[in-house]
Amino acid sequence: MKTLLALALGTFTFCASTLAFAATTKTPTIGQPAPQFEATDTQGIQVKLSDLKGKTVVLEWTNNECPFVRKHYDSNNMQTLQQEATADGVVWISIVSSAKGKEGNVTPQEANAITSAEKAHPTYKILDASGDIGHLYSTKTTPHMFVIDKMGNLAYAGAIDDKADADQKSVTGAKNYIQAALQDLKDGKPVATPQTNPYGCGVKY
Amino acid sequence: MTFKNISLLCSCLILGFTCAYPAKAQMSPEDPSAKDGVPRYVETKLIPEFDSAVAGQPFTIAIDQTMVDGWHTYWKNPGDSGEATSIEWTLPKGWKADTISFPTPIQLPSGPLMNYGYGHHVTLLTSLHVPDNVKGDSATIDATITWLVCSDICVPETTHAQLVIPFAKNGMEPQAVNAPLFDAARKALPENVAWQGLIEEEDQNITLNFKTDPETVAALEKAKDMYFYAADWGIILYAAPQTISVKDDTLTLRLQRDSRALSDLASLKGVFVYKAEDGSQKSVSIEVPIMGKSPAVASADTSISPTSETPTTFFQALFLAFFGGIILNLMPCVFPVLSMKALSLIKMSEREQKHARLHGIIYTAGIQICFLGIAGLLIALQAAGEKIGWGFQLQHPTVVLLLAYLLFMMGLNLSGFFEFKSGFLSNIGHKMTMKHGYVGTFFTGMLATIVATPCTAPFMGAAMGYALTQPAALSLSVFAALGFGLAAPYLLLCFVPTLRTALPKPGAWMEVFRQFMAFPLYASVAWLLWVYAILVMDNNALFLGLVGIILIAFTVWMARHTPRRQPWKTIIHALSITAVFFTLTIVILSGFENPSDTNGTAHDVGFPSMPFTTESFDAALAGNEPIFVDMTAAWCITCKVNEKVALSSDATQKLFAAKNMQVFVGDWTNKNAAITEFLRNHGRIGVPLYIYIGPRDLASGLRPEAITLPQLLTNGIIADAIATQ
Repeated sequence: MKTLLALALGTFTFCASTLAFAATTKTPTIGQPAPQFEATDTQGIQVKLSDLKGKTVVLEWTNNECPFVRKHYDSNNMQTLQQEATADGVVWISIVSSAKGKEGNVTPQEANAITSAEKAHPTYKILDASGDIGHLYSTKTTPHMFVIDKMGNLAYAGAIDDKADADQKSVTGAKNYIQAALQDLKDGKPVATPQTNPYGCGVKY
Repeated sequence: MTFKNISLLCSCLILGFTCAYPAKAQMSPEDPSAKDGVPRYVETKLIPEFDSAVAGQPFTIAIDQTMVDGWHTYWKNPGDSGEATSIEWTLPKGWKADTISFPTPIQLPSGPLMNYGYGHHVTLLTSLHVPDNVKGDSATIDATITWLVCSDICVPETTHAQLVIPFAKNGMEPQAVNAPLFDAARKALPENVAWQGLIEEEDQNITLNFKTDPETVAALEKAKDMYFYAADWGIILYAAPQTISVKDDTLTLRLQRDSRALSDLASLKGVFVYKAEDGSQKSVSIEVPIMGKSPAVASADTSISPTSETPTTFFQALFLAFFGGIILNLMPCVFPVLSMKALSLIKMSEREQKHARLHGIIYTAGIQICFLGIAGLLIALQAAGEKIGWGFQLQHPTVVLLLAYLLFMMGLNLSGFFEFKSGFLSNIGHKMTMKHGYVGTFFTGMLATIVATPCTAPFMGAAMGYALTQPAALSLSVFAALGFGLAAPYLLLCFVPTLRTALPKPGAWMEVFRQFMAFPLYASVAWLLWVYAILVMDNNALFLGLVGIILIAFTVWMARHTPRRQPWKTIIHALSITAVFFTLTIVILSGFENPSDTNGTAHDVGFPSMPFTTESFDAALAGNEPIFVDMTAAWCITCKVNEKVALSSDATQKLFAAKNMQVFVGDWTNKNAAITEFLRNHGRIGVPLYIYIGPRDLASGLRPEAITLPQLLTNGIIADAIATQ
C-alpha cells in the first residue's frame, strides 16, 4: 500500500527520497538530511535509516568501557532517557564504532549481554567496527548524540548534557540536551539548542 | 578511579569476556601513586610561586603534572574528544580564582581524530586574588583538581590538595621559591600579539588573513611546521590538513570547516604555532572578530527598498488591502464559488431583483465576520506570544482536511451529483430564492474567506504586515478593508443593476458552465490533500484522508437513493450513519497527527537551494556571496507560481549560478518559528517573501542593504534587483 500511494503521490515522494539519498559525506549539518545508512543490528535485524522516516530517531555512540559512557549508564541516566524516548515512539539506535582489537569492540552476543546487564533500552544496537557509520556522521566521542526529526533531517548533534565530565554526581542538575531536543520536536518547535560540543572518550576507530 | 575499576571488574565477571585492562601492564614500575583511589597516570602537585602572599595582590599557583609515558592530558579545547583539566577551589572569604592559563599544546592524533593536549609534563598556571583585608597569619586553600588522562583508553582522575599560604610580614617582600618552574611555565604560554585578522567563510573552508609587521613576515617566510589550534569547538575540523601561506605582508590560514555556525561566536580565538629558522618553537595567541549580523539585516525593519510595496500610511495600507482583496476573487478555489454566486443574480426573477442589494450586504457581512474572526484570533494568539502569521490556519492538518472535504462536497454539488434541498447550504448558483438564499449567501461569504486565506495575494503582504504592527483597532480596519475588497465585485453587481445586464443571458450554457466550474474545485481538493500529506508526513494518514473522500461521495449517493421499502431503508440509513461516523473519525484522527517543524525543504520547489535555518542563513550572511531568500509554503499558490515562472526559470537559474547565489528556501508549510521571526523582521506575516542581499563589498567589508522583492516575481524583477547591487 505504501508503495502504491508513493507512486500515486508522484513528484512529492520522489523529491523527498531524492533529498534523502542526496546525503553527502561531509560533516552533517543541522537542518539538512541526516546521512543514510543501512546495517544489521546485534539481534540480526536489518536497520535502514530511510525506513524510519516519519519517526524521530536518536543515534547514541557508545563504548561500554569509556568512563564517560559509564557515567551515564552507571547513574542509570542513559537507560532512563532511552526508556522515556522509546515509550514516546522514538527509535533509539546505539552504535559501537570501536574497531576490532580496540576498546569497546564487542561481538553481537557480548553487545546483547551488555544491553541486558545494563538494562538498556535501545531499539537497535549496531556494531560498526569498520567505523563507516561513525565517519558518515563525523562522530568524535562516546557518547556522541544525534537526533533526526521525522522528515529525516538532522535536528541535534553533540553532547548528551552540559556537564562535560566523567563524574556520575554531575548527572543530577545537568541540562539534558537530548531530552530538550525531543521535547521541542514533540511540541513542533525548532530545537532550541541544535548543536553542542560533544564530550567524552574519542571513538576508537 | 575506583568506580572504573569496579565497573570494569563487574562487567568482566558478569559477562565473562576478556577485558582489555591495561592499567597494570602499562604502568611504570616506579609510579609512586599506584594505589586505589589515587591517580595512577598523572602525578599532580600544587606549587606556589612565592613563600608568602600580600593582601590585595594576585598570588600565582602552578598545577604541575607529570604523566606516565604514553599518556596525555588535554588543552582547554581538547579537540575531537577528551576533557580539559579543571580546578574547583575552596577559598577563604573574599578570595577569587582566575581561569587556568594553558600553555601551547601539541597535536595528539588518534586514528581519524585529533586531540590537543600534553604528553610527559605540563605546568598550568592560575592566579588567586588575595583580598585587601586578610586576617591571621595565613590562609588555607583547598583545590580539587580533575583531569582526563588517555592513551588508547581514557581514565578520569582527580586529586585533592591543600596549601597553607602565609601572609607576608610587614615590610617583608615575598620570596620567589620556584622561579625556574614559573619561568618555564610562562615561556610555554602563547605570546600575545596584535595581528589584525579577517575571517572569510566559503562553503567548506574558513580562511583567516592576518596583516603583520615585515619582521614577522620575514620570520614566517622561513618558518616550518605552522599550525593553528582553534580554541573554540566545532568551527574547524581539527584533523583536516591546514594550508598556511605567507604572501606579501599577509599570513593566510586556509582551514576546513566543521558544522558549528560562526554566528555562535563573537570572535574566533586560537593559538598559531611555527618553528622558526633557528629551530625554536614559537606560539602566539590570535583572535579574529567575526562580523555578526551585517548592518543590512540588523536594521532589516527599516531597510525595505523602494522596489517593495511598503505602506507608509494607514490609508495606503487600507487601499492595498482592498486591492489585494479584489485579486483574491481570482484564486482557483474562490473563483468557482463566486462566479456561481454572480450568475445566480442573472436568474433572479424580477420580483427577487429588489432583494439583490440585501444579498450583497449579507454576503459582505459573511466575509467580514469571518475575516475579522480570523484576524482577531491571529492578533490574540500573537499577543499571547505564539509565533504564527497569516495562513496559520492551514498549518493544522485537521483544518486542511476539512477544507478539502468541504471543497469536494461543493464540487459534487456543482457537478450535479446532488442538490441541497434547502436551508443552510443553498445550492451554489441554483434557485436563489428569497426565502432560502440569505443563509446561503452569508455562508458563501464565509466560505469565500476561508478558501481565500491560504495565499497572501499580491499587495496584501505589506498591508497585513503593517496591520499587525498597529494597535488592534487599526489592524482590524486593514483586515476589514481586505474583506471589503474580496466582497467588492459581487457587491457591485448587486448594487448596480446595469452591470448585471452586461452579464450573458441565462440559458442552457449555465448548467454546462456550472459543471465545468467543479473542476477548479476538484483541483483545489487535490492540492489541499497534497498539502495535508506534507503536513502529516505519513502515507497511512493520507490514505485515510482519501478514504474520507470516498465515504463522503458514498454517503451523498446513499442519501440520494434511499429505498422506500424496509428493511433496505434502515440498512441504507445505518450504512450512511456508519460512513459519516468513519469520516468524522478520520477528521478527528488527523488532529492527532503531529506536524513537526519544517527544518528542511519538505516539498520540492524546483530549483537548487538550501533549507532556511537561522544558523545556515547567519553563516551565509557572515560570508561574502550574494543571498536570495524564498519564503514559501506548499499551500501558497502565489509562491508556487513564482517558483515555477520566475525562480526555476533558466534565465534566473543561470543568473544565480553566475553570481554564486546562496539560495535559501524557507518552507512554512508547517509551523516554523525561525521563519515566522524572519518574516516579521521583514515586516511580513505571511508567505511569499523574497529577499535579496547583495555580495559583501570586500573593500569596506560591508554588505548592501537587503532588498525585498515584490510578491509577484518575473525574471526581469529578479535580474533588476540583482543588477542594482
